[in-house]
Amino acid sequence: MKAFSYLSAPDVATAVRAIADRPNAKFIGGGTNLVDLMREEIERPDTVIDITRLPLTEVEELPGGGVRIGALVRNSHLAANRLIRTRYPMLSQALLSGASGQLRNMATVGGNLLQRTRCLYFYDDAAACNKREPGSGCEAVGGFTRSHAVLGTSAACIATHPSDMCVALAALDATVVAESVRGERRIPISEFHLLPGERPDIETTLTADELITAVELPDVPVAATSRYRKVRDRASYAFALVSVAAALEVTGGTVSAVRLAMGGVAAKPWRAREAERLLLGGPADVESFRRAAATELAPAVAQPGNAFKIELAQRVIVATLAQLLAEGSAA
Amino acid sequence: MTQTQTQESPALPRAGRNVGKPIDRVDGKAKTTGAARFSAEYPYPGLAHAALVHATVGRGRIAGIDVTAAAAVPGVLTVITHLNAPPMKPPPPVSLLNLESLASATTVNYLNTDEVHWHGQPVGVVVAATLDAAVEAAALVRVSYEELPARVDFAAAEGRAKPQKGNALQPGESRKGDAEAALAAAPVSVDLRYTTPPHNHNALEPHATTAAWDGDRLTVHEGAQNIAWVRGHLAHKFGVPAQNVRVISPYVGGAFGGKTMIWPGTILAVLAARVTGRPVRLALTREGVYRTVGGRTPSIQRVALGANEDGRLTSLIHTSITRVGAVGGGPEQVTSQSRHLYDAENIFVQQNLVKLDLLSNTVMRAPGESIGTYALETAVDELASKLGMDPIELRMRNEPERNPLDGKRFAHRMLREAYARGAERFGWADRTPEPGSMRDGRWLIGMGVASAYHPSWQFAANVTVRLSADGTVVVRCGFHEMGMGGATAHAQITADALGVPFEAVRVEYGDSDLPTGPGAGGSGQTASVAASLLTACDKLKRSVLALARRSSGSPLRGVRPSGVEARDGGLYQAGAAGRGEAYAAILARAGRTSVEAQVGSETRMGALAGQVRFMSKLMLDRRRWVKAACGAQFCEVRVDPDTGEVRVSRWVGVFDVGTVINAKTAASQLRGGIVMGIGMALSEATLVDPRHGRIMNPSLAEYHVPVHADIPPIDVSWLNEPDPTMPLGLIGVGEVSITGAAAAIANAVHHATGRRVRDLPITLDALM
Amino acid sequence: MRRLHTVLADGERINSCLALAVQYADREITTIEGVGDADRMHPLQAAFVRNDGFQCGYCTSGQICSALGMLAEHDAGAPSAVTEHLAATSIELSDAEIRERMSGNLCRCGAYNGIVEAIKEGAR
Repeated sequence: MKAFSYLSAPDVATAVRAIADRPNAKFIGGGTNLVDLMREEIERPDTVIDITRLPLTEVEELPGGGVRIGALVRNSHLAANRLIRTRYPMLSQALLSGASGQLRNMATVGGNLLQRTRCLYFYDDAAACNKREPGSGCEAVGGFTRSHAVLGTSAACIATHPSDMCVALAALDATVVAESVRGERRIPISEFHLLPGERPDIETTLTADELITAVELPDVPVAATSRYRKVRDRASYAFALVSVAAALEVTGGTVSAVRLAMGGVAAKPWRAREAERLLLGGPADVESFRRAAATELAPAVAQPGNAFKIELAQRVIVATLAQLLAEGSAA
Repeated sequence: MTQTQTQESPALPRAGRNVGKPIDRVDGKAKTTGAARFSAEYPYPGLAHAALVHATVGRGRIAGIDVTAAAAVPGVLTVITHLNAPPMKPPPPVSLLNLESLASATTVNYLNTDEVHWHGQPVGVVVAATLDAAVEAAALVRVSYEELPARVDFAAAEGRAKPQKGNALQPGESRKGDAEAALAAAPVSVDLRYTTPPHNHNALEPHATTAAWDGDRLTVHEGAQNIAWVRGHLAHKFGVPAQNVRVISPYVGGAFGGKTMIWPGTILAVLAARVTGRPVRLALTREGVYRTVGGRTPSIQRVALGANEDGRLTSLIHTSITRVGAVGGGPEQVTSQSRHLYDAENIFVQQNLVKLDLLSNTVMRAPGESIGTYALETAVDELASKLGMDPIELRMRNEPERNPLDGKRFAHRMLREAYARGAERFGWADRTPEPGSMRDGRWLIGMGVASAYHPSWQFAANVTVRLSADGTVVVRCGFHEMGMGGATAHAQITADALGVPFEAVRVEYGDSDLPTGPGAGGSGQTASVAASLLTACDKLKRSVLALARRSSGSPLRGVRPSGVEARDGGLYQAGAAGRGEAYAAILARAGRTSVEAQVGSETRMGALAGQVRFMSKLMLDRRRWVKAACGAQFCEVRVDPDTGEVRVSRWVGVFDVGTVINAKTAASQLRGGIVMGIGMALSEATLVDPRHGRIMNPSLAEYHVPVHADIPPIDVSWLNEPDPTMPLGLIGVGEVSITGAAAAIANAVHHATGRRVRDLPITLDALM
Repeated sequence: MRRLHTVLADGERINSCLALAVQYADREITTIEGVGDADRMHPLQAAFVRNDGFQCGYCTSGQICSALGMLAEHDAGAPSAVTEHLAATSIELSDAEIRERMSGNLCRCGAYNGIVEAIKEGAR
């Protein structure tokens, strides 16, 4: 790992000033992704600014029914939070299905938003990668693509976003709150992560000098009946091949509210808006779940190694909605 | 032969006080309190750290190396490349007459050549005062290459495979009758193709070497499966006498075959210490292990079976293709079990090889049989389906009385009993044969069986046993502890052989200053040490008895050795009320502080004679017997009908492994093999990019070994019937349980889903 | 010395290999040596020996520290990915719960059964 200078910020104002003053500086929270990438010599910051002492560790109810989550709340603490467990169970489940107990104790909410891809060719500094070295090419194309994206890809990049938490946040219409020397900015989660296009190295709309201070969840009553289903290559401690965050409310046999998002299929958590539109107001049955899932995946483009994801994603959507339907009718 | 036999197998187990018992490991406290120290954890004053620079082409010549940026990193002591490395001797040519020559993992003389033979070959080593500086500088070394075409695509090389040349230990091909003709004529037959991917050992301790020179004497801390090979190889490479090299290896953080050969990191750590004049530690990163330590070869296999309507096999064909590296590696005995498991009228087995520009393949837990049983035992299940016959019944109909190929006797074979007991413990009778017929809620349930088979081995071992006047015993033997619990097992054996309490025995191991032990391989270490240990204990008892017999005050005066037994901390005339006395009393009267017995010689000639003796006994033994461990694997899987996710939910394994020395550690080893077999079946694969030969998943995040959540309770048991041709009747337990495991899962998956998956690993996409 | 270790920071389990030491300067770090030594073994350490919850021993320090952190998390009511009723206030520590919660600690020797048994015994 390259030598770097370290400073610890006591408050938000100091932190954002520090990063504005220093080129090639990075904030460090839990470090679970950044330290790994620094050890791999993929991230080589000159300065790391420790933000773990900032007072951003609270989970608070907002007037109007939403919840504000401090950016430094640890993944494990957020997952165990009563408010989250009862009102947004899909978020608890998403967090709990990510990484391991140890890593969840270290990883922060803000850091989880900024996780970088697990593409094998991004991690290998001998491989061409437009994300790591813009313009060098994409060696994943034609290589091992089992974990890669089927939606929103570009010729420049086919990597996926690895986060589980973000899939739930996408389904919940969360807002990312960021602070810089220019003041506060509120970014809807749908506008936070970027598809690769020509510049896969630019992964979010957060600017280099902005600090994530919080994530806000609106009041989403349907989320009380929600689930996160993650499918992977072993039973635990692996990244998703496909995951689905779903919430469903059925009134008189008709879908009266629905939220749906997918992980493991794109460079960003994929909100399945087309499927939601089809489902809402329609019959709550497996046939319509199937149609909605098929429509959402219709634009998918497969690589030789990941064609199964297109079918798998549809099956997981249908299975998860069907389970919510069964649980809803049982209740 | 009878003479040798009795000497080497002094007694089949009497009901020993200790042998067979589930005794806690003697190193348990050290391992659970953090006191156990692994190779990268030895402090040395002035210790420097080394990091490797890996080639980024599959084959070529180094055109230029720029170390300017690397050398400028603060703390860097030196950057060693082929431009400035001192010469080392090339590895010795491989010969079965010099077993130590097998230690060379590759033929490359690292950093003494500008040639690159595989993607990841070390082309430089950076030595620095801190690990971080070494790693950072290694990333800054700029190497340019003159690239040469490299053959790296195993699947594409299939057509170029050549039959493997056989050797004394491993025939490449065998036949009985005309198997192809019998297959064509068989009323019922299957002819199937299976593939398995490359695997890596992934011992949790990455390879690490701490090396310190003192003049021309060298001390090396190294997690090794064969410290004698490490010592001999380093002595050869650096031109010093073997006795100048000491290899210390008391704890090995897992190995599974990966620490058998001498890989580049070991040599380059020693080189770095030589160049800098400082003690050097080279602890490989996980990626470094993948790039410089070989793994299991991939395979393409054909299994064809022909049978009569009653299930009697008329033809068995098993052929394989595996790979070796252009610079090293060896054939895998993929068809090994197919020579012994079924009584087919006609048999043809053949192993083929392709040579690729990749890192040498190497041994990994049950090399050959682990992947060979997958293909054979899945094919047998497929034949059973076709015959509409229970797969256990089909196996029992073809269970041979003698070795099918040549009629040799089995030293020991209780596969029938293993199946009978396993079926009962598992509840096989509750299985409904129709695929997809069993469910639990939404889960599809499948049950599968397969046979396990692994040949048993025994190697030369030098041992000394010293009995002190205080009644304590020290056993010294340079064997290896990677988790098998050897020290505990040998303390149990010694305690029973000498009639002393288990606690009175201390076992020293893992140090090349000790009498030369066997390598830890072929599941043969325990049997090998036990044979010499029992002989040494016999010699020791005779020496002690001789002291007593000469003494007028001893109740053993004049007593013949055959009439004496060791018990209660001394020697007593046979029979319950037999007179005798404690060792302490005998030694005290004779004025001795200790008595020692030795088996094997450490002199050059003695070692050579030992090796010749070992080889001739091995050959004689093999001419006479087929010796092996076997077993019956039963598993239950659950398959999610929506996603194809497979979860192993139950396991029963019953093994025929002769006498079990320690019920606790043997159970752990047997379970461990099954766990690795579950990984092999469902998730493990090393991804070698066919475009350039680079391994693309060199990490535990992307190479999926089983985690806690993947592993159900595993019920293992053994028949505990001694093998009369083995010391104490014991057969090794380290490898047999990985064999058959993947097939049992594949067969269970078929039972659950009706799908046959013939390419490992069985990932969910194959079942959707 | 970069063993892939789990250690406890103020009683919470973390991966030392991904931690920048300076970030944890004001937290109390407990390693396996702080859990108990040969003369004063922690009951969980003794349970690992009795149940043979290891073979080579390399991952053992991490398994034990992780198990201690895991048991504390469970005591505090934290759910896991296999907890069926997230809203429940008390969660039974079933084998499935232990296995899921311990899945961040790999054991290539495959001593998983023994580890689970040791944890159940040590938790009593």
